[in-house]
Amino acid sequence: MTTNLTSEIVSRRHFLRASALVGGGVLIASYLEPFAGAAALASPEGVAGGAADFVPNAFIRIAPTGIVTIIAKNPEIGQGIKTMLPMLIAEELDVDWKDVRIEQAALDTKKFENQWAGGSTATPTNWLPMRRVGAAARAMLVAAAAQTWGVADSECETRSGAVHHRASGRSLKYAQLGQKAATIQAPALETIALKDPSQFRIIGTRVLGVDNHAIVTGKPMYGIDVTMPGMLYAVFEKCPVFGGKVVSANLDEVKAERGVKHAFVVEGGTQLAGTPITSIRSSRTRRSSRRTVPPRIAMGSSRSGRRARHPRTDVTWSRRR
Amino acid sequence: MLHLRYDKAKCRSLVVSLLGMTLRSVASCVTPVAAVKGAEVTTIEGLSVDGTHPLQRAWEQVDVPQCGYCQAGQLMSAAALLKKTPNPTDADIDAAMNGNLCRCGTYLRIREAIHLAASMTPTPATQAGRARVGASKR
Repeated sequence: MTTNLTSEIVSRRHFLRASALVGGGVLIASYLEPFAGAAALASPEGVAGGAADFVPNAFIRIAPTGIVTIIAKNPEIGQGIKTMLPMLIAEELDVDWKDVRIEQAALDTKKFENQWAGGSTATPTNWLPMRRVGAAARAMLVAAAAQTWGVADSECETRSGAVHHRASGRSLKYAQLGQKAATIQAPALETIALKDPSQFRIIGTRVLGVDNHAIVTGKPMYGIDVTMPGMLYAVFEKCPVFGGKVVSANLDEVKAERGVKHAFVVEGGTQLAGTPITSIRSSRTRRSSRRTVPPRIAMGSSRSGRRARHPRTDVTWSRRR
Repeated sequence: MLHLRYDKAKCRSLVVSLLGMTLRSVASCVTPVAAVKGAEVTTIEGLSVDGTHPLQRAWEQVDVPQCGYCQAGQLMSAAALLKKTPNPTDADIDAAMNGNLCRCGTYLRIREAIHLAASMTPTPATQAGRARVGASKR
Protein backbone atom coordinates (compact mmCIF):
# COMPACT_ATOMS: atom_id res chain seq x y z
CA MET A 1 0.00 0.00 0.00
CA THR A 2 2.74 2.36 0.97
CA THR A 3 4.59 2.28 -2.31
CA ASN A 4 1.51 2.66 -4.48
CA LEU A 5 0.32 5.51 -2.34
CA THR A 6 3.47 7.50 -2.93
CA SER A 7 3.62 7.02 -6.66
CA GLU A 8 -0.06 7.80 -6.95
CA ILE A 9 0.37 11.10 -5.15
CA VAL A 10 3.33 12.02 -7.31
CA SER A 11 1.74 11.17 -10.62
CA ARG A 12 -1.51 12.92 -9.82
CA ARG A 13 0.28 15.99 -8.69
CA HIS A 14 1.68 16.84 -12.07
CA PHE A 15 1.24 20.52 -11.81
CA LEU A 16 1.64 23.20 -9.28
CA ARG A 17 0.13 26.47 -10.19
CA ALA A 18 1.38 29.70 -8.80
CA SER A 19 -0.79 32.52 -7.71
CA ALA A 20 -0.57 35.67 -5.72
CA LEU A 21 -3.27 37.02 -3.52
CA VAL A 22 -3.38 40.75 -3.91
CA GLY A 23 -4.53 43.33 -1.43
CA GLY A 24 -7.01 41.41 0.63
CA GLY A 25 -8.15 38.69 -1.65
CA VAL A 26 -8.15 39.19 -5.43
CA LEU A 27 -6.95 36.07 -7.09
CA ILE A 28 -4.87 36.67 -10.20
CA ALA A 29 -4.16 33.14 -11.30
CA SER A 30 -6.30 30.09 -11.81
CA TYR A 31 -5.61 26.70 -10.33
CA LEU A 32 -5.47 23.19 -11.59
CA GLU A 33 -6.43 20.12 -9.63
CA PRO A 34 -5.29 18.85 -7.23
CA PHE A 35 -4.33 22.26 -5.95
CA ALA A 36 -7.65 23.85 -6.70
CA GLY A 37 -8.67 26.12 -3.90
CA ALA A 38 -5.16 26.70 -2.65
CA ALA A 39 -5.91 30.39 -2.46
CA ALA A 40 -8.46 29.67 0.22
CA LEU A 41 -5.51 29.17 2.51
CA ALA A 42 -4.05 32.53 1.63
CA SER A 43 -5.77 34.81 4.07
CA PRO A 44 -3.17 37.51 4.56
CA GLU A 45 -3.15 38.78 8.11
CA GLY A 46 -2.83 42.52 8.38
CA VAL A 47 -1.57 42.88 4.84
CA ALA A 48 -2.00 46.38 3.46
CA GLY A 49 -3.40 46.92 -0.03
CA GLY A 50 -0.95 45.97 -2.76
CA ALA A 51 1.12 43.55 -0.69
CA ALA A 52 0.64 39.94 -1.66
CA ASP A 53 1.44 36.53 -0.31
CA PHE A 54 3.15 34.19 -2.74
CA VAL A 55 1.14 30.98 -2.73
CA PRO A 56 2.89 28.46 -4.98
CA ASN A 57 0.71 25.60 -3.82
CA ALA A 58 -1.65 24.42 -1.12
CA PHE A 59 1.18 23.91 1.35
CA ILE A 60 3.17 27.14 1.23
CA ARG A 61 2.46 30.81 1.74
CA ILE A 62 5.27 33.34 1.71
CA ALA A 63 4.35 36.75 3.11
CA PRO A 64 6.07 40.01 2.13
CA THR A 65 7.33 40.08 5.72
CA GLY A 66 9.40 36.98 5.02
CA ILE A 67 7.30 34.74 7.23
CA VAL A 68 6.78 31.39 5.56
CA THR A 69 3.59 29.61 6.51
CA ILE A 70 3.62 25.87 5.90
CA ILE A 71 0.52 23.74 6.09
CA ALA A 72 0.73 20.46 8.00
CA LYS A 73 -1.72 18.14 6.30
CA ASN A 74 -1.91 15.13 8.62
CA PRO A 75 -3.64 14.86 11.99
CA GLU A 76 -1.30 15.37 14.94
CA ILE A 77 -1.89 12.79 17.66
CA GLY A 78 1.38 13.03 19.53
CA GLN A 79 3.57 11.49 16.87
CA GLY A 80 5.06 14.85 15.87
CA ILE A 81 3.81 14.87 12.29
CA LYS A 82 2.70 18.52 12.52
CA THR A 83 6.36 19.38 13.03
CA MET A 84 7.91 16.78 10.75
CA LEU A 85 6.01 17.24 7.45
CA PRO A 86 6.66 21.00 7.35
CA MET A 87 10.36 20.29 8.04
CA LEU A 88 10.51 18.35 4.76
CA ILE A 89 8.95 21.24 2.85
CA ALA A 90 11.07 23.91 4.56
CA GLU A 91 14.26 21.93 3.85
CA GLU A 92 13.76 21.89 0.09
CA LEU A 93 12.27 25.38 0.01
CA ASP A 94 15.53 26.42 1.68
CA VAL A 95 14.18 28.72 4.33
CA ASP A 96 15.26 29.16 7.95
CA TRP A 97 13.14 27.24 10.44
CA LYS A 98 12.86 30.36 12.62
CA ASP A 99 10.91 32.05 9.82
CA VAL A 100 8.45 29.17 9.48
CA ARG A 101 4.98 29.22 11.00
CA ILE A 102 2.89 26.08 10.87
CA GLU A 103 -0.83 25.79 10.33
CA GLN A 104 -2.83 22.63 10.69
CA ALA A 105 -4.70 21.85 7.49
CA ALA A 106 -8.46 21.52 7.57
CA LEU A 107 -9.77 18.21 6.30
CA ASP A 108 -9.79 18.60 2.52
CA THR A 109 -8.75 15.44 0.75
CA LYS A 110 -9.21 17.06 -2.65
CA LYS A 111 -6.44 19.44 -1.85
CA PHE A 112 -4.26 17.31 0.41
CA GLU A 113 -5.26 13.77 -0.56
CA ASN A 114 -4.42 11.41 2.29
CA GLN A 115 -4.98 12.98 5.69
CA TRP A 116 -4.91 10.32 8.31
CA ALA A 117 -2.76 8.93 11.10
CA GLY A 118 -2.03 5.31 11.86
CA GLY A 119 0.39 2.69 10.68
CA SER A 120 3.64 4.63 11.06
CA THR A 121 3.93 5.21 7.32
CA ALA A 122 3.68 9.01 7.14
CA THR A 123 7.42 9.61 6.97
CA PRO A 124 8.20 7.14 4.17
CA THR A 125 5.09 8.00 2.15
CA ASN A 126 5.59 11.75 2.44
CA TRP A 127 9.38 11.83 2.26
CA LEU A 128 9.51 12.59 -1.46
CA PRO A 129 6.12 14.25 -2.07
CA MET A 130 6.58 16.89 0.65
CA ARG A 131 10.17 17.58 -0.35
CA ARG A 132 9.03 18.00 -3.96
CA VAL A 133 6.37 20.49 -2.87
CA GLY A 134 9.10 22.62 -1.28
CA ALA A 135 11.55 22.12 -4.13
CA ALA A 136 8.98 23.15 -6.76
CA ALA A 137 8.28 26.42 -4.97
CA ARG A 138 12.02 27.01 -4.62
CA ALA A 139 12.51 26.44 -8.37
CA MET A 140 9.86 29.04 -9.15
CA LEU A 141 11.54 31.58 -6.87
CA VAL A 142 14.91 30.86 -8.49
CA ALA A 143 13.40 31.35 -11.94
CA ALA A 144 11.82 34.63 -10.85
CA ALA A 145 15.15 35.95 -9.57
CA ALA A 146 17.03 34.74 -12.66
CA GLN A 147 14.54 36.50 -14.94
CA THR A 148 14.85 39.67 -12.90
CA TRP A 149 18.61 39.64 -13.35
CA GLY A 150 18.57 38.28 -16.92
CA VAL A 151 20.75 35.30 -15.99
CA ALA A 152 20.35 31.52 -16.19
CA ASP A 153 18.63 29.64 -13.35
CA SER A 154 21.70 27.44 -13.03
CA GLU A 155 23.84 30.42 -12.03
CA CYS A 156 21.67 30.97 -8.97
CA GLU A 157 21.55 29.26 -5.61
CA THR A 158 19.37 29.58 -2.56
CA ARG A 159 20.02 29.93 1.15
CA SER A 160 17.94 31.09 4.13
CA GLY A 161 14.96 32.30 2.14
CA ALA A 162 16.89 34.20 -0.52
CA VAL A 163 18.16 33.61 -4.06
CA HIS A 164 21.80 34.46 -4.73
CA HIS A 165 23.58 35.05 -8.04
CA ARG A 166 27.05 33.61 -7.57
CA ALA A 167 28.86 35.62 -10.28
CA SER A 168 27.57 39.08 -9.38
CA GLY A 169 26.96 38.58 -5.67
CA ARG A 170 23.43 39.89 -6.02
CA SER A 171 20.63 38.47 -3.93
CA LEU A 172 16.87 38.78 -3.60
CA LYS A 173 14.79 37.59 -0.71
CA TYR A 174 11.88 35.23 -1.41
CA ALA A 175 9.61 37.85 0.16
CA GLN A 176 10.59 40.27 -2.64
CA LEU A 177 9.99 37.74 -5.42
CA GLY A 178 6.32 36.87 -4.86
CA GLN A 179 4.80 38.88 -7.71
CA LYS A 180 7.30 37.63 -10.25
CA ALA A 181 7.30 34.04 -9.02
CA ALA A 182 3.52 33.92 -9.33
CA THR A 183 3.91 34.26 -13.10
CA ILE A 184 6.32 31.34 -13.42
CA GLN A 185 5.06 28.03 -14.74
CA ALA A 186 5.31 25.46 -11.98
CA PRO A 187 7.69 22.59 -12.72
CA ALA A 188 6.62 18.95 -12.92
CA LEU A 189 6.95 17.35 -9.51
CA GLU A 190 8.45 14.04 -10.68
CA THR A 191 11.49 15.63 -12.26
CA ILE A 192 12.17 18.37 -9.76
CA ALA A 193 15.75 18.32 -8.44
CA LEU A 194 16.06 17.60 -4.73
CA LYS A 195 18.88 18.40 -2.34
CA ASP A 196 21.64 15.92 -1.70
CA PRO A 197 21.26 14.76 1.93
CA SER A 198 24.70 16.21 2.71
CA GLN A 199 23.14 19.64 2.20
CA PHE A 200 20.32 19.14 4.68
CA ARG A 201 20.10 21.91 7.25
CA ILE A 202 16.72 21.10 8.86
CA ILE A 203 16.15 17.39 8.27
CA GLY A 204 18.17 15.46 10.80
CA THR A 205 18.35 18.29 13.31
CA ARG A 206 16.46 18.36 16.58
CA VAL A 207 13.44 20.60 16.17
CA LEU A 208 11.12 21.22 19.13
CA GLY A 209 7.44 20.36 18.82
CA VAL A 210 5.54 23.24 17.27
CA ASP A 211 2.72 22.99 19.80
CA ASN A 212 4.89 22.78 22.91
CA HIS A 213 4.13 26.34 24.01
CA ALA A 214 0.39 25.97 23.51
CA ILE A 215 0.45 22.71 25.45
CA VAL A 216 2.37 24.01 28.46
CA THR A 217 0.11 27.04 28.68
CA GLY A 218 -3.00 24.87 28.63
CA LYS A 219 -4.56 25.98 25.36
CA PRO A 220 -7.67 24.02 24.39
CA MET A 221 -6.59 21.90 21.45
CA TYR A 222 -8.55 18.68 21.75
CA GLY A 223 -11.79 17.36 20.38
CA ILE A 224 -13.16 16.87 23.87
CA ASP A 225 -12.68 20.58 24.61
CA VAL A 226 -15.30 21.47 22.01
CA THR A 227 -18.76 22.43 23.21
CA MET A 228 -21.80 23.11 21.07
CA PRO A 229 -25.19 24.50 22.07
CA GLY A 230 -27.42 21.68 23.25
CA MET A 231 -24.60 19.19 23.03
CA LEU A 232 -24.95 15.95 24.99
CA TYR A 233 -22.13 13.81 26.27
CA ALA A 234 -22.11 10.11 25.57
CA VAL A 235 -20.18 7.55 27.55
CA PHE A 236 -19.48 3.97 26.66
CA GLU A 237 -19.21 1.28 29.27
CA LYS A 238 -16.87 -1.18 27.70
CA CYS A 239 -16.72 -4.84 28.59
CA PRO A 240 -13.47 -5.21 30.54
CA VAL A 241 -12.62 -8.36 28.65
CA PHE A 242 -11.85 -8.49 24.96
CA GLY A 243 -14.57 -10.36 23.10
CA GLY A 244 -17.12 -10.14 25.92
CA LYS A 245 -20.77 -9.58 25.09
CA VAL A 246 -23.53 -7.84 27.02
CA VAL A 247 -26.07 -10.29 28.47
CA SER A 248 -28.37 -7.79 30.11
CA ALA A 249 -28.41 -4.20 31.35
CA ASN A 250 -30.85 -2.31 33.58
CA LEU A 251 -31.55 0.31 30.95
CA ASP A 252 -34.86 1.52 32.43
CA GLU A 253 -33.24 2.08 35.79
CA VAL A 254 -30.35 3.94 34.19
CA LYS A 255 -32.62 6.09 32.03
CA ALA A 256 -34.57 7.18 35.10
CA GLU A 257 -31.48 8.77 36.58
CA ARG A 258 -30.98 12.52 36.57
CA GLY A 259 -29.36 13.91 33.45
CA VAL A 260 -29.58 10.72 31.45
CA LYS A 261 -31.46 11.13 28.20
CA HIS A 262 -30.95 7.74 26.71
CA ALA A 263 -29.21 4.46 27.34
CA PHE A 264 -28.82 1.54 25.02
CA VAL A 265 -26.78 -1.57 24.45
CA VAL A 266 -24.26 -1.64 21.64
CA GLU A 267 -21.91 -4.39 20.61
CA GLY A 268 -19.35 -4.90 23.35
CA GLY A 269 -20.85 -2.48 25.85
CA THR A 270 -23.53 -0.06 26.91
CA GLN A 271 -23.94 3.51 25.72
CA LEU A 272 -25.40 6.41 27.66
CA ALA A 273 -26.20 9.87 26.36
CA GLY A 274 -27.16 12.81 28.50
CA THR A 275 -25.99 15.93 30.24
CA PRO A 276 -24.18 17.08 32.28
CA ILE A 277 -21.28 14.71 31.98
CA THR A 278 -20.84 14.24 35.73
CA SER A 279 -24.25 12.66 36.17
CA ILE A 280 -23.77 10.46 33.13
CA ARG A 281 -20.53 9.24 34.53
CA SER A 282 -21.88 8.50 37.99
CA SER A 283 -24.77 6.62 36.40
CA ARG A 284 -22.30 4.56 34.50
CA THR A 285 -20.44 3.56 37.61
CA ARG A 286 -23.60 2.68 39.52
CA ARG A 287 -25.35 0.75 36.85
CA SER A 288 -25.06 -2.99 36.64
CA SER A 289 -24.83 -4.72 33.34
CA ARG A 290 -23.99 -8.36 33.09
CA ARG A 291 -21.65 -9.67 30.49
CA THR A 292 -20.42 -12.96 29.23
CA VAL A 293 -16.78 -13.48 29.87
CA PRO A 294 -14.81 -15.39 27.30
CA PRO A 295 -12.13 -17.84 28.42
CA ARG A 296 -9.27 -15.46 27.69
CA ILE A 297 -9.90 -13.74 31.01
CA ALA A 298 -7.49 -16.35 32.29
CA MET A 299 -4.79 -14.27 30.60
CA GLY A 300 -4.35 -11.00 32.43
CA SER A 301 -1.56 -8.75 33.59
CA SER A 302 -2.22 -9.39 37.28
CA ARG A 303 -2.18 -13.13 36.81
CA SER A 304 0.89 -12.94 34.59
CA GLY A 305 2.60 -10.71 37.14
CA ARG A 306 1.83 -13.18 39.89
CA ARG A 307 3.21 -16.00 37.83
CA ALA A 308 6.34 -14.05 37.05
CA ARG A 309 6.95 -13.38 40.72
CA HIS A 310 6.15 -16.92 41.75
CA PRO A 311 7.12 -19.21 38.91
CA ARG A 312 5.58 -22.60 39.09
CA THR A 313 7.97 -25.31 40.10
CA ASP A 314 5.53 -28.17 39.94
CA VAL A 315 5.35 -28.32 36.18
CA THR A 316 7.69 -30.35 34.11
CA TRP A 317 7.83 -29.24 30.52
CA SER A 318 8.01 -31.89 27.92
CA ARG A 319 10.74 -31.58 25.39
CA ARG A 320 9.61 -30.68 21.87
CA ARG A 321 10.00 -33.50 19.45
CA MET B 1 -7.72 24.75 30.73
CA LEU B 2 -9.01 21.65 32.36
CA HIS B 3 -9.40 18.90 29.87
CA LEU B 4 -12.36 16.67 30.48
CA ARG B 5 -11.29 13.13 30.67
CA TYR B 6 -12.36 10.52 33.09
CA ASP B 7 -14.24 10.12 36.30
CA LYS B 8 -12.24 7.53 38.14
CA ALA B 9 -8.98 9.36 38.79
CA LYS B 10 -7.20 6.77 36.73
CA CYS B 11 -5.07 9.12 34.69
CA ARG B 12 -4.95 12.39 36.65
CA SER B 13 -5.08 14.44 33.42
CA LEU B 14 -7.05 16.96 35.40
CA VAL B 15 -4.93 18.03 38.29
CA VAL B 16 -5.23 21.28 40.15
CA SER B 17 -3.22 22.55 43.07
CA LEU B 18 -4.94 23.54 46.24
CA LEU B 19 -3.28 26.19 48.35
CA GLY B 20 -5.36 25.97 51.45
CA MET B 21 -4.54 24.62 54.83
CA THR B 22 -2.39 21.98 53.22
CA LEU B 23 -0.71 22.26 49.88
CA ARG B 24 -1.58 19.40 47.64
CA SER B 25 -2.57 18.55 44.13
CA VAL B 26 -5.80 16.74 43.53
CA ALA B 27 -7.38 15.04 40.56
CA SER B 28 -10.17 17.46 39.76
CA CYS B 29 -12.25 14.79 38.06
CA VAL B 30 -13.04 13.23 41.44
CA THR B 31 -13.02 16.35 43.59
CA PRO B 32 -16.39 18.04 44.03
CA VAL B 33 -16.25 21.83 44.17
CA ALA B 34 -17.77 21.69 47.67
CA ALA B 35 -14.72 19.83 48.92
CA VAL B 36 -12.37 22.69 48.07
CA LYS B 37 -14.45 25.53 49.46
CA GLY B 38 -12.17 28.25 50.76
CA ALA B 39 -9.07 26.80 49.12
CA GLU B 40 -7.09 28.61 46.46
CA VAL B 41 -7.28 26.53 43.29
CA THR B 42 -4.52 26.77 40.72
CA THR B 43 -4.88 25.36 37.23
CA ILE B 44 -2.13 25.31 34.61
CA GLU B 45 -2.89 28.93 33.72
CA GLY B 46 -1.92 29.75 37.30
CA LEU B 47 1.65 28.67 36.70
CA SER B 48 1.81 31.48 34.16
CA VAL B 49 -0.39 32.41 31.25
CA ASP B 50 2.61 33.14 29.01
CA GLY B 51 4.64 30.04 29.77
CA THR B 52 7.35 31.71 31.85
CA HIS B 53 7.11 29.46 34.91
CA PRO B 54 10.32 27.40 35.23
CA LEU B 55 8.38 24.18 34.73
CA GLN B 56 6.75 25.48 31.56
CA ARG B 57 10.10 26.70 30.23
CA ALA B 58 11.78 23.42 31.09
CA TRP B 59 8.93 21.47 29.50
CA GLU B 60 9.36 23.33 26.22
CA GLN B 61 13.13 23.12 26.26
CA VAL B 62 13.24 19.39 26.96
CA ASP B 63 10.49 18.87 24.35
CA VAL B 64 8.39 16.93 26.83
CA PRO B 65 4.92 16.98 25.24
CA GLN B 66 3.76 14.65 22.54
CA CYS B 67 -0.01 14.75 22.14
CA GLY B 68 -0.04 16.99 25.21
CA TYR B 69 -3.32 15.83 26.65
CA CYS B 70 -2.01 14.79 30.06
CA GLN B 71 0.55 17.56 30.30
CA ALA B 72 -1.54 20.09 32.22
CA GLY B 73 -1.98 17.46 34.92
CA GLN B 74 1.69 16.49 34.77
CA LEU B 75 2.73 20.12 35.19
CA MET B 76 0.44 20.67 38.17
CA SER B 77 1.72 17.57 39.94
CA ALA B 78 5.27 18.68 39.21
CA ALA B 79 4.50 22.17 40.54
CA ALA B 80 3.12 20.72 43.78
CA LEU B 81 6.25 18.58 44.09
CA LEU B 82 8.65 21.49 43.63
CA LYS B 83 6.77 23.60 46.19
CA LYS B 84 7.37 20.93 48.78
CA THR B 85 10.66 19.56 47.51
CA PRO B 86 12.61 22.22 45.56
CA ASN B 87 15.41 19.82 44.61
CA PRO B 88 13.84 16.43 44.17
CA THR B 89 15.69 13.20 43.50
CA ASP B 90 14.62 10.77 40.80
CA ALA B 91 12.87 8.78 43.51
CA ASP B 92 11.04 11.88 44.78
CA ILE B 93 9.88 12.61 41.25
CA ASP B 94 8.75 9.07 40.58
CA ALA B 95 6.80 9.00 43.84
CA ALA B 96 5.17 12.40 43.33
CA MET B 97 4.30 11.85 39.69
CA ASN B 98 3.01 8.34 40.20
CA GLY B 99 -0.57 8.19 38.96
CA ASN B 100 -0.22 10.84 36.26
CA LEU B 101 -0.52 8.60 33.26
CA CYS B 102 0.89 9.52 29.84
CA ARG B 103 -0.23 7.33 27.00
CA CYS B 104 2.49 8.73 24.74
CA GLY B 105 5.13 7.70 27.31
CA THR B 106 6.86 11.01 28.02
CA TYR B 107 7.94 9.97 31.52
CA LEU B 108 11.70 10.16 31.05
CA ARG B 109 11.53 13.67 29.61
CA ILE B 110 9.13 14.70 32.39
CA ARG B 111 11.72 13.63 34.94
CA GLU B 112 14.47 15.46 33.05
CA ALA B 113 12.36 18.63 32.81
CA ILE B 114 11.56 18.60 36.53
CA HIS B 115 15.28 18.44 37.32
CA LEU B 116 15.89 21.29 34.87
CA ALA B 117 13.09 23.41 36.34
CA ALA B 118 14.47 22.81 39.83
CA SER B 119 17.78 24.29 38.69
CA MET B 120 16.14 27.39 37.19
CA THR B 121 15.50 30.72 38.88
CA PRO B 122 11.79 31.04 39.45
CA THR B 123 9.93 34.01 38.03
CA PRO B 124 7.45 35.82 40.29
CA ALA B 125 4.29 33.78 40.50
CA THR B 126 1.36 35.21 38.68
CA GLN B 127 -2.08 35.32 40.19
CA ALA B 128 -3.74 34.75 36.86
CA GLY B 129 -5.78 31.61 36.67
CA ARG B 130 -6.27 31.36 40.41
CA ALA B 131 -9.64 31.60 42.01
CA ARG B 132 -10.68 31.29 45.59
CA VAL B 133 -13.53 28.86 45.59
CA GLY B 134 -16.51 30.02 47.60
CA ALA B 135 -14.45 32.79 49.17
CA SER B 136 -17.08 35.43 48.56
CA LYS B 137 -19.66 33.50 50.54
CA ARG B 138 -19.85 33.83 54.28
